[in-house]
Amino acid sequence: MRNSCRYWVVRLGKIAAAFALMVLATNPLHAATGLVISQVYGGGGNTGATFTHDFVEIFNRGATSVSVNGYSVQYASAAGTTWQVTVLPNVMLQPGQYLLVQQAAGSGGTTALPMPEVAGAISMSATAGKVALVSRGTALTCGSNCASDPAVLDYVGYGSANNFEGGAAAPGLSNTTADIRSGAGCTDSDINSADFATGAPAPRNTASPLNVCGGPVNQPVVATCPANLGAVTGAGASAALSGRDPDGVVISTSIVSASVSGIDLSGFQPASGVGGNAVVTLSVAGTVAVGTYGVQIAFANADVVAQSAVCTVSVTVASPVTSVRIREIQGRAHRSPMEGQAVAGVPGIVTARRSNGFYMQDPSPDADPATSEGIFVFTSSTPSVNVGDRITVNGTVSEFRPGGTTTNLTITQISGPTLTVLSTGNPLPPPVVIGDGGRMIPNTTIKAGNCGDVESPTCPFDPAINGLDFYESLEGMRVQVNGALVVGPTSGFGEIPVIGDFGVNATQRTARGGVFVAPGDFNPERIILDDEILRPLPAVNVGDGFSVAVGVMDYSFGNYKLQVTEPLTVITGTLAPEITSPQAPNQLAIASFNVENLDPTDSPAKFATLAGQIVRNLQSPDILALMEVQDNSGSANDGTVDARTTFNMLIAAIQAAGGPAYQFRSVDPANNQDGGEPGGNIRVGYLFNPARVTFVDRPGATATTATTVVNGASGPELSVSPGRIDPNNPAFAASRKPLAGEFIFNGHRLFLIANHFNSKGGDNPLFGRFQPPVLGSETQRNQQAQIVRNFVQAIFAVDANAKVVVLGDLNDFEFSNPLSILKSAPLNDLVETLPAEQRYTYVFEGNSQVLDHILVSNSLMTAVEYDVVHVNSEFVNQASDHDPEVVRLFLPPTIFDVSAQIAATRSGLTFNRVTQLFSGTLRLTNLGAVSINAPLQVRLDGLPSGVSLLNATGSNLGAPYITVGGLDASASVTVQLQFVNPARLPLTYGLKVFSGSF
Amino acid sequence: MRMPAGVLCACVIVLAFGMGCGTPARAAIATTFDVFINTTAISGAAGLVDLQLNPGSATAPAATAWLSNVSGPAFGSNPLQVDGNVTGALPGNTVFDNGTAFNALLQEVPVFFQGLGFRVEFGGSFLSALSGDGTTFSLALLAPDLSVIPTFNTDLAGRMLTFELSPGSIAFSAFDPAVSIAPVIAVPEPQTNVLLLLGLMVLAVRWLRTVRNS
Repeated sequence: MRNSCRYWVVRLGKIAAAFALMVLATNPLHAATGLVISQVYGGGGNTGATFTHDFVEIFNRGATSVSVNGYSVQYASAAGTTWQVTVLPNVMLQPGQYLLVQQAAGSGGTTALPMPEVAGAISMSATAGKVALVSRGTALTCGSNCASDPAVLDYVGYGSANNFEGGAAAPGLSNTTADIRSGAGCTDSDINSADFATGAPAPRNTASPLNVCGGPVNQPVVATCPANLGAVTGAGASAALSGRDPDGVVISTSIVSASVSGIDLSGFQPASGVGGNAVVTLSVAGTVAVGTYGVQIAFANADVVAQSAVCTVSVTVASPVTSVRIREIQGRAHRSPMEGQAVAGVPGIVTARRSNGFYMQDPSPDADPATSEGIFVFTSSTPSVNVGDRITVNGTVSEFRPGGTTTNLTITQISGPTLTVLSTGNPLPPPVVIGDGGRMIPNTTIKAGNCGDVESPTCPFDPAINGLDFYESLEGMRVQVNGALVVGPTSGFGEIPVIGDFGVNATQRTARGGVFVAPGDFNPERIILDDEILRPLPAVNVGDGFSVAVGVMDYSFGNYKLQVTEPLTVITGTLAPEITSPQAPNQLAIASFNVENLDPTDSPAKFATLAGQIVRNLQSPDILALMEVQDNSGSANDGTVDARTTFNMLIAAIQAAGGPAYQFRSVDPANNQDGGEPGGNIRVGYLFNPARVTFVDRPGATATTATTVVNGASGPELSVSPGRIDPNNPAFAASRKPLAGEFIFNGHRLFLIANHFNSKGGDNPLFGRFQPPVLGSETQRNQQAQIVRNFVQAIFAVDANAKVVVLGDLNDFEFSNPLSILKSAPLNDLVETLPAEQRYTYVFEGNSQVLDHILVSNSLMTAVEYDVVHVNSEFVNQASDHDPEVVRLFLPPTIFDVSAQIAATRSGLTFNRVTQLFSGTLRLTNLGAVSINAPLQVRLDGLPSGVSLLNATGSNLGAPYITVGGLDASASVTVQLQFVNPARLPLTYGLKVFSGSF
Repeated sequence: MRMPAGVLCACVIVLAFGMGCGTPARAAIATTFDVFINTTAISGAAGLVDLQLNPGSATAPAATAWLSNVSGPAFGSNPLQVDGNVTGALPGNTVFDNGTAFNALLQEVPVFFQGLGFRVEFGGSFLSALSGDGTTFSLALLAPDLSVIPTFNTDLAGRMLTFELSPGSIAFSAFDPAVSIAPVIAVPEPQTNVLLLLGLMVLAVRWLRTVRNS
């Protein structure tokens, strides 16, 4: 035993010793002296470099002074095996002190290094190499693999060097970057890639402030400048610069490169405190001569030994282009071929003014319709010129992208203008008529092909084919539309979409005057009138019109817009809200209606209008699936999710309008998890008329509980009803969860799934930069549709003939991918049963389109009646932005009243003092001579309020019922009754007995 | 061992008749019953007697139950709880009327002895009614915590016996062999027999006169 223990002690000791030797071999002496290479720079004197020489910086990161006498700095190329040596002088480096080793100079650079402690002549690579700090003055003989040589005190391989400390080399370098050891030299993990980062070379020598490792670190000043600044002679330019010291205050700035007359700093504001930004403007006067200037700007702090940082701005001054015409600036493209160029003497007549600029148009156009003769001149403040002024403009051609949104197109403009007024009161250039008698608008294609970025020079530009290019060719020009027929109501932004010539050249007209979308045709013939110049524009509906509309062609928010400059004369149309047919007794009417962020803070008028539409226009459907019902506190972001008040206010308004006493079912969402207006907690929900249809309640729903399909006694059932479908699936993140519910009508069981899929927000605009538009939002809708389809198929798996209705605001078209997925369940999209000119529930920017759908299973396709009831989308006064839709399903009874054939005898009741229930019996006798088929439904009608039947099988039309078997002729059956009657009210109720199933 | 509920149920239906003169059937033979419950099995224990007379609905014909001749256990001095139309207290005579939804007497029994007996007599318009809902008279023996005493069999509602008072009929059920229910057959009083005999004689004389005159 003792011998065995001794064996292990000896063996472990050997292992430990071997490990120690291995560690020492890997990390020779590095920790012994505290000396490290703290900076390496090989781009000195190269093109673009500031410093004239390469250098290596040594640093004492230890706690004691170290003499470098006899030591050397050595260099080998990235793959080299031969080492060049620079012997260090007899210097005692204090803790935290730097030592600068200058190396070879190049032909470039403008700044000498600070005074080096020693000057070598090694020409180091600007990108990759190996540097060693060696404890002797003779060259290393270890070839290319010297990182672990015992004589090496520290070692740096950078770029593509074939040898380095640790797993990877320090970053590769350039003419303007150095590898700098982090922590101002203090960081040393013996892994080059981790210890070094690139930065502007900042050589330090023995005179530099000490940086004792472990003590407070004096952070450097950081200067921030643009790399380039363009200017034109006569126009000038400027750029904002800044400097910051994380642990100090930047108090001064200056140009440290050679002075150039006209290039100055102005408006310097020192940092307000430690870590604050000091700012200054670099101005280039219009008098600076054409050329390129490397301007170096230094920022310095208020430290006792001041720190500073220098940045470089390359200033390029170009000559202006003179005698240029607007059409040359606009070019045959979406971006100007002269972008960035200075122009002078551009002629035109001012056609319209805006708050920050004006439009001007060349009164002498050429014959090329592809190049616009108009342009916007950006003055940034109220322009000094007036409409009718004949002027010339000097300035810079630029492209302004409205909204800063990369998916928008740009507007070509002249910025930084200098204006010369030649005359005033000139007649304006005549507007270009678009339509009959003028330039015909492409009426099908917005942009042919698959350009992707239409601003790409390789993307064909053809205004005769592409609507996008057509309007671009008119950008900034005066345009006239004759017979402007309104195809979308005046929006809240004061925009009115119209089509010209009273629509004779438009395709895909709706039955009520609009234009509807179809695959491949999103109606480029629509022209959006806007009110940025002449305000307000009239409030008009679809079908109204204007005899003529004149304005200038602008672009914003993803659309070309005609900024109206002359008053509009309205031609009033005759469009009226629609009224659908009432449902027959054996028709179940189901509607879908997005009520647009309805909440109790909405005006009583909105509730009354919606209620009127439901009662009069929709004819009080038996079931309403509602979207965008907000919680009781509306948009107040207060954690409220309960929406009972909202539902009940709508129900009360419906009753006040003469409608039925609806009940509602919904499931509150988790706070702010379903998208929409923050705090609003929009959700879907059902209203139903309990006098016509029964909702099958199955308890247990929560915001996160998934309802499932179970195989129940009578076929498919929901595990909870109402219940949300897969609410925790990421597909429904920040989106509404589908709400499934079970209903019974005339003995038919129906499964409804109300939806509000994620919106089309985030899709590229139709008239955007990228063509065809990228439909970014569709991916999530596809996922949502897949989940709903799977749920429907789970119902079909139990009963292939189950009656299923999927409805709601699906936020996509009947020919879209999400709808294709749903239809594959299989389901029938009822909007497709309508003629094409009637297919729309929404009007967006003048495009009538289907966003709301009712899809039904094949089992419900018998004698189906479907109607979109146009009451909102076409009207400027609208209770919602959506039109409701309704389907009437013919579902004759499958259940028969046999009460007359039954004698019922009720016993007295006994109260159980423990269960608090009244118990008794009901004896049913078949008085007839024939059997009554099972099952029998015994319904107790009119129980007093506060009394309930505990052992009810279910509820039908608001009354409890008990299911029993059939009855042969003259046979009897006794039914147990258990009442909850806490107030011990006198019991009065009627009995109805039905054969069949509710 | 407790027997399955309903196995020992005894049920009797007695048709009432009113002699065709509108007289309530109170005096009829099958409207009065002597009830006895053998409580030997719980002798010495405390508990409660729960008596109820409740209609099946508010439209049930009127029904009244008169309790008398109560004997057996030591009753508490006052009912623990009285609900609805109930007057009196055990062991005295008590009257139940089905005029409300819940007419009940909950009487405390500090100590059960060998048995509990009483006579119950039913009356009311239900006896002459041709249709309508029933009324139930029931008895339950409860433990002090109001739970059913498990010693006895009961129906699902916890009752040891019931009388179903339906239009024109009375049916009783007992759910434990400890319960015995005996209809009290009303024997005509002597003076009644004399009156009946005299009446028959008058009818005979009139018949004879008629025959002779014809």
